[in-house]
Amino acid sequence: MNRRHRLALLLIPVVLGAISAALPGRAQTPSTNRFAFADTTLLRDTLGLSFVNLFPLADSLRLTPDTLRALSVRYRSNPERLVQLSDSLRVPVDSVGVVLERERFNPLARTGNENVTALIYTTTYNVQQTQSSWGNNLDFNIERGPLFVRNLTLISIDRYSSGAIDTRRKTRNANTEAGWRLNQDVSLGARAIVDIFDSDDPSSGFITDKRNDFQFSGRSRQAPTRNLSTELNMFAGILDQSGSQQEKSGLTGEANARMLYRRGGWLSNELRADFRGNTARTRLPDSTLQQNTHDYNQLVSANLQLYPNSPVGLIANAKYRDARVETPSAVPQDSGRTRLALTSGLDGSLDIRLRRTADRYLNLTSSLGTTDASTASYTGRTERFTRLLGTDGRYDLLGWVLEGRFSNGFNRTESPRVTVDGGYIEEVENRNLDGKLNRRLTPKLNLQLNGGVSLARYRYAVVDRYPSPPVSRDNYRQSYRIDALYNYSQRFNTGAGLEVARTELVNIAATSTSANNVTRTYRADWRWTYRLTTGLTATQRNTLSANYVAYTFREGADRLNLEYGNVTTLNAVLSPRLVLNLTHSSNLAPSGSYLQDEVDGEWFFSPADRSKVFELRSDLSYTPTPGFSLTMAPLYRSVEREGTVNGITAPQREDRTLTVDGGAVVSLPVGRRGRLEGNFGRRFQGQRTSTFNAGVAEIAPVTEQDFWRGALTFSWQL
Amino acid sequence: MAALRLRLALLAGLVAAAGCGYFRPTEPEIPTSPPLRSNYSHPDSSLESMNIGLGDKSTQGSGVYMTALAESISTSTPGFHQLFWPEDIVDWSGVVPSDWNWSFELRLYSYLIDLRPLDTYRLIWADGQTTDDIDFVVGVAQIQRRYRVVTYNTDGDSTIIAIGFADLTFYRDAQSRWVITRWADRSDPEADPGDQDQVTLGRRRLQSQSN
Repeated sequence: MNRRHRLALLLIPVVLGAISAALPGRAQTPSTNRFAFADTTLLRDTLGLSFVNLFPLADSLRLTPDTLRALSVRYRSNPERLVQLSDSLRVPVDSVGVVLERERFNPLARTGNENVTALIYTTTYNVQQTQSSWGNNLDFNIERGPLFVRNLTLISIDRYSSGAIDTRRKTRNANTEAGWRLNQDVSLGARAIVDIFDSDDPSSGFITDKRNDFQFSGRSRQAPTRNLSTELNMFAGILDQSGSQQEKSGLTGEANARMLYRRGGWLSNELRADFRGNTARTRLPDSTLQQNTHDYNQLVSANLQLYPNSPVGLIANAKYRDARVETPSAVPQDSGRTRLALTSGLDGSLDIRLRRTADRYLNLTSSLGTTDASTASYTGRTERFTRLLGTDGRYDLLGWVLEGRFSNGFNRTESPRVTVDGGYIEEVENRNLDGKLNRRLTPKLNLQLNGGVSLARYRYAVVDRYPSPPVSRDNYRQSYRIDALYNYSQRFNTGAGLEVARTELVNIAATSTSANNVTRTYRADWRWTYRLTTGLTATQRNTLSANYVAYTFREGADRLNLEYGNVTTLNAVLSPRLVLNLTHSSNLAPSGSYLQDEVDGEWFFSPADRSKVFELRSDLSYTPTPGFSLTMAPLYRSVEREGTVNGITAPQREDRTLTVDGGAVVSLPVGRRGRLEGNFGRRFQGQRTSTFNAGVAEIAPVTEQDFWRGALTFSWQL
Repeated sequence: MAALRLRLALLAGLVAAAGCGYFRPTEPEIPTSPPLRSNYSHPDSSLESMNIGLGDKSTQGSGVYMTALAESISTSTPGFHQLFWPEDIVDWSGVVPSDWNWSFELRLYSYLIDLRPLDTYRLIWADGQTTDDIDFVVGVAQIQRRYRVVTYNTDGDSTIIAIGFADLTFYRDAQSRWVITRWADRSDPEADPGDQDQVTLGRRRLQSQSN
């Protein structure tokens, strides 16, 4: 790329910035038609959670909607509540659950001085065809004046069946802390952490790993000024570890600190530091030789936010981590020596956010990082350097909403000793540019245009001697898609889309260019939904796609893959208690290569094989009383595969499968404080397979499966 | 209106920047030799293609060699399996895979071409001791061939690095290619027992595991 081109690239953020022209904001609601093409199935309420504002919230958090939905379901909180917690805890949304779990053990998080007695017991039994698990969790908290005791105990037993072999794994974990809160800002106490793991997996033999940590704990928090708050927590005690890998006993300690400085709404600066370490006498399980080992793990992170809610804001992050694990050498000739696994890294990022309104903004993103990791063996050391520059923005103009995103990422990974003789260096550069244009053409018609281009460049260089490094190559992709959605009425809507894509695999070296190919993809789909009557809705989706694969340097190897798909669903609410879903789907996928006509030399498509899949499924749900449903779901599936030899199509294989799932779904209160939730049922599956040899069917006996499956959870709260 | 025009012009500049070759893939090196001519329309054509593939000693050559072996990712089509000569198993002190399949064979190719990196390779097939049984209607063939892998150095001196017999079962696949589904390996009585290099390809397959 010459200098003029590089200069043009630098203009990209300038151009976007000029278009965005971040100025003092004014109130403006974001254009709602931006989410007209979003997957509305994500908005269905579940577990008493509502996802009405899922798309705008996910958009503002720069998360995908399904990620935010999954987090909401996991922590049983509406997305709005999750975001509120995220803001108040000053952590990313995906860290809310982890921080809440940690704070449960922090006695200083308690605000009042009232007596507390809380106990939650949960037991879950999950059974599937070849595995089952039984989990028991106990969580209790007792606080009397300044005294407190907390315990969290988790016990799980998992069974896996493989033929006549049963494997059982037991995991037990208990975390108990008791102490005395001297005042609102200081507490002292002791904690015990017990971990036990048993396994009788035949591949590894009987294993028991145990770890016991007994520590004194001291927690404190300070607020020297109105704008400054700090926390300092320290733990120190003894460590006792035994198991299949090593036997270790000694002293262990942990210290973590946090400092937060806020000034008005324009400055927020947070520093966190965490250090954990141990010094111990360690030996291998089958050795009597005790050796001194020292392990530590330290992490320091900083976050700076300047004018986060202003038209121009800045967010900077930095993180330093360093870890060392020392183990006795298992190599006989190194007996008496220890081996070190060292990991260190430094990462930093800087984001500049220019925001005028929710639909007129520009973000400039950059990050740098380096990691150095070595394993306890001679081989395996890896050094990694990463760099990312990017920008994304949105701008609405005359009813059009334009979104654009550009990024350039570079990774360099040095693995000089993949084997004892050598290794290789990998350099990967990813260049991406994509955009989306959205407009509501009429009150009933929405249009969306998508386009994108990307190039991934992989380069490899051998260090010393390495026989088979990966192939240096470029992967290129460009795609365009147009979507239209027509909402005729509340009863009927339809949409169609057309996508054209081109991908290129370019191996650079002459010795590997035979695999180079260009794939042109054409994909179209049409879907409609029609509410026939109240409680009866039909939905259909039809898809067509074609992949033309052309090999650059291999004449006669080109291929064509075609696919036709269709899914029709009938949703019937027969009564408030009876719901039926009926789904039929079909998929035809012929493919083949090109042959040259011996007479005129023309190339023509020659079908080589074809698969046909048909499926009919119904889901029937009857709810005699709230919190209890009976379900029945029969599924019939037919798979046929045909091959073509010398222009004659002949069957190769046929599969016919019938699956029937029947069961119940419960979500019932048990007494005043208990609750039973989950599902259970039985599955029957029968399958017959026919293979064809020279057109003659060889029918295999029917295979049948019949087993219980489900997961039930009972929880009881004091 | 002037501001609008300016923004549209800048937007056009952005689009133009995207078309400046920044996303253009690198031009690959032109193959140093013409694309390998492979032919799988007859069992013997497939064997000759294996010779061409081994002689090329490249990723492309590996592809040509391996195409002659049935690759199967589903139970509906047969895959390649090689059966070791029992004496090779007895003599081998290392691990003997229970099923030497297509994936294992990839290692053999790399191992063989690393043995004599500067030499020229040939995989020579000769008639075996049984009559060919080829059914062109059904698309199944059973043949026996004597094989030798011979390398030639720059002075023209030759070395046999593999010798043996192979009882081969072929299957004509969906693309009308004759591919090997079964390779029963056995030693050749004419191999020189004093020459450590003159071993079966089965033995070379076992050795390739440590490569």
